Amino acid sequence: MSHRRTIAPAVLAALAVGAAAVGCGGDSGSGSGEPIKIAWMGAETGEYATKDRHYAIDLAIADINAKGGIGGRKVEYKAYDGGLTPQQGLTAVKKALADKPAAIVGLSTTAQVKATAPLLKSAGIPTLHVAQSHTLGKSTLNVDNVFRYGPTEAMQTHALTDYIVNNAKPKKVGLLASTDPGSEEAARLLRAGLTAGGVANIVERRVPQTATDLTEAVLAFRGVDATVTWSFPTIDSLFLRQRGQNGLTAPTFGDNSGGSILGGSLNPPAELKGYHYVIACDPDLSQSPEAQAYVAGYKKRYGPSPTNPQLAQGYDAFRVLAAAIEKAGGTDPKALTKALGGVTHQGVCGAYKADGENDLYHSDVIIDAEGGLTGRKLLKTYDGLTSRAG
Amino acid sequence: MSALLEVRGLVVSYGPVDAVRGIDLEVGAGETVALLGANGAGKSSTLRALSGLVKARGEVRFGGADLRRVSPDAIARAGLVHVPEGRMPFRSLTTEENLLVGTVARGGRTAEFALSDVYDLFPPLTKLRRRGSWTLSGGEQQMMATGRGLLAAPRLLLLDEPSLGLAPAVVDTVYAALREVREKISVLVVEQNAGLALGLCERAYVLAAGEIAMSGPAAELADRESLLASYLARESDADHEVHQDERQAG
Amino acid sequence: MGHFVGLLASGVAQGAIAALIALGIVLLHQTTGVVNFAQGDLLTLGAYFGVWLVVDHGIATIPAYLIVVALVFGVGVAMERIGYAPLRRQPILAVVISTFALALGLRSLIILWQGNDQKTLPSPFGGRVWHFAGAAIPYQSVLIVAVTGVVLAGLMLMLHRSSIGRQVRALAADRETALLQGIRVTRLSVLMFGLSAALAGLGGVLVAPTLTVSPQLGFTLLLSSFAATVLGGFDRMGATVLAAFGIAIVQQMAAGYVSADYVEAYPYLILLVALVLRPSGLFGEVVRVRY
Repeated sequence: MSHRRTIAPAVLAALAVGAAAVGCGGDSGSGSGEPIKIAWMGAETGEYATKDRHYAIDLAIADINAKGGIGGRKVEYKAYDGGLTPQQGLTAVKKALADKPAAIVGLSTTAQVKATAPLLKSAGIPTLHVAQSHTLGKSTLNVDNVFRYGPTEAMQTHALTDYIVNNAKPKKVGLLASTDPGSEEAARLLRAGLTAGGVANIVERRVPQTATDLTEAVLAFRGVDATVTWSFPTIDSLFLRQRGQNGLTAPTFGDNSGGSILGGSLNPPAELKGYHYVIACDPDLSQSPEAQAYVAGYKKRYGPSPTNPQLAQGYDAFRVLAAAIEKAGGTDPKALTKALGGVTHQGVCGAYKADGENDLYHSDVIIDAEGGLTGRKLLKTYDGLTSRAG
Repeated sequence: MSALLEVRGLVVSYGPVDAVRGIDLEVGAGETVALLGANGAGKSSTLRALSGLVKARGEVRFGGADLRRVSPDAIARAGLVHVPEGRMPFRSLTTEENLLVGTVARGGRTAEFALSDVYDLFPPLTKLRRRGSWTLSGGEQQMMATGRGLLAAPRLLLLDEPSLGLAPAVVDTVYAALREVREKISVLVVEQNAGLALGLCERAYVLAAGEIAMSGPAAELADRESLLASYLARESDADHEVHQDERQAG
Repeated sequence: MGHFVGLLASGVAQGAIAALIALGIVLLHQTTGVVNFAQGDLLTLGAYFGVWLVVDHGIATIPAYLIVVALVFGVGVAMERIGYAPLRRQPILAVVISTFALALGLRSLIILWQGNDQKTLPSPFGGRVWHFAGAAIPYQSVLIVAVTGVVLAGLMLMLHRSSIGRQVRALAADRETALLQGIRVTRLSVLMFGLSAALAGLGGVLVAPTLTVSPQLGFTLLLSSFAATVLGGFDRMGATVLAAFGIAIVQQMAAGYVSADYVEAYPYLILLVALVLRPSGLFGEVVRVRY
């Protein structure tokens, strides 16, 4: 399930930023009226607060304001430290609501969305989150103004198992997942997908996300035709290493930790042989004009190294929101919620259009990691995935 | 010439309780002095104050130097070496290792007693040298602790109850050794057994309720047997318990 | 056979790292009374120093490892000055709590210095493995065990054959009597903080190539070392080392032959069972600590 962990080499974590406001983008244009305020809920401090965490959203704000903002009004955002825990999320949402934003973007864990849902429902402020559990769909969560702008784990596992059974065509698969609820759920979906695809024999192993040795699992996977991992970058990276050392040459397929593994060069090239992963989006490899414009803008602003694929959806989220505000003709919460439900937007990562579960995004890509950060290849793009593909 | 150890108005308090109430005491160079008293009279507290383990008021000068605000380990390295009551072996060390730890405090001084001299003084230790010190009997531990103190090249050796809890034959061995020691080193010995101590020492102080009740040449005190006995019979175990509670922060 | 040997080798390597951490904890606890909760973060620091020297500055493995040990020793000394010396007259609990604060401070400093991103420290052997009895054992694991063995032997020799070692053991056995024997307790405390930190730092630089380096690295490893420390009776170095290896090997074997689920819970399960059977620790006799 992999957190939205970002990857560019950080020289200095901007810890000092704290929970306070962070500067907002855009030139002071000659917009009429009040600027449109958007609240950004990210991990501003701690383990996941990387240096590049605002890159894509700063770019989005700059692009929107360069075209004159929305309806002549400038857009700005303020970052609140949502952290990763429900309590941090709740505190940050309360703070944000007190500032009366037009919308909230960015909660990243399932527990946070669940914890803040009642508050968001009563406040009515449109919210775009990126947590992955299918239980956050509208029919389960029962909150109209909460939307998701990333893929569900069901979409990702569906794309991955589909690719595996149609390409590697394995008979026997080793499945490694960590014991956190998201990975457990993903493992269940992966098993179902593999079984449906004709895999008769699945060897399954669960490890805690703090595991420091996977020898037992690697040994248990001897003789499989393919391995699948669903966990965190540290575990996936450790698995790649120990897999290589133990001569396990079967192809391996993993979650979006692959983005972090390549971005941080966590494994040397030899250990990436036969490694594939699923990820929501990879703008560097996309041929779409939207992605190419984004990559060009990103590199112009932040330098020539590859973009961080896990940030691109934050860019899209702000653009989707801008399109909805335009459609709604303003920031009235009810009108904006309705507009988000009907808006269509062709973004960096693909098409955004809400389905019945308030899921805006329905795509995933499969990446061949063998060439590392610079030589990775796009193998297949999945579009039109549904929330409950499992 | 001033004495090797000079104590003026020494007061040791544990909370509101004064265990030692302003005593004066001297030990001259080469002298052997006894500090007598019943349990709880303040003998051990006095020694612990001299070696810096408990805070005290009053003046303590050793070899002319003021010992106030000097840490216990520095006091030991200056040559004022305290062999504690209960012998206190380093239980995880062997007998010989315990003895060798004694050499740490030697500093630049030449030791009157080398390791081989200690084995000569206390023959039973010879065959126990490789034994873990926790297996030693009380008497053997006393010999070891005394030897450990001697290896520190003390200028003044403080002995706290060297005969306590020992069988008569063992007491004889220990005191025979101490008679050799006093020929070379100044000694201040705390004892409940007045007869033994007065036989060893030149002078003695008798402590009662934290104050000096009597003092003088050993022979003189020995003659005033009944008065001495009356001081030594009194008191309780209070002193003992109090100083066990005192935690040394070092 | 290969399965068994593979699990055993991995257990021994894990045990070696746990032993280095646990030994540092016990050494410091015995001589100063302090349980140092920053031990895990000192390990993390060692790993980051390793990355800094080897990856950022291209220093060769052996000098880099030695510099790491020296640097972390220095950090340990600084911790003594900041977190222990000023609190020496306070109850020991105050010092233990101050080590918690130091642990968090250290972690924050690491993040400020190196960021949150995961890093890698390459092994001097690359990913090469030793094929032995049907198992593939990474040379880095062999290195971990060999270096740990040499360090443990050296440490034991130092403790049992040198004057300073006798003083350390005397201090551990009886602080007050050690003072009466003129042992420079303050100076030894500084040395012990440095030494136990250096052990953690060495563990960090050794284990880093087998894992991913992140600010949380040491904390993860600290937990099972604590189990070894408790099992060893918290005051006996040999027993602690044995317990560290024992726990890691049993953990691997149980994962391989009993059940791989909840593998991370096994150390605590072992600990729990052992403590029920032997409340003073598996090897403990009389737990007797004097400060």
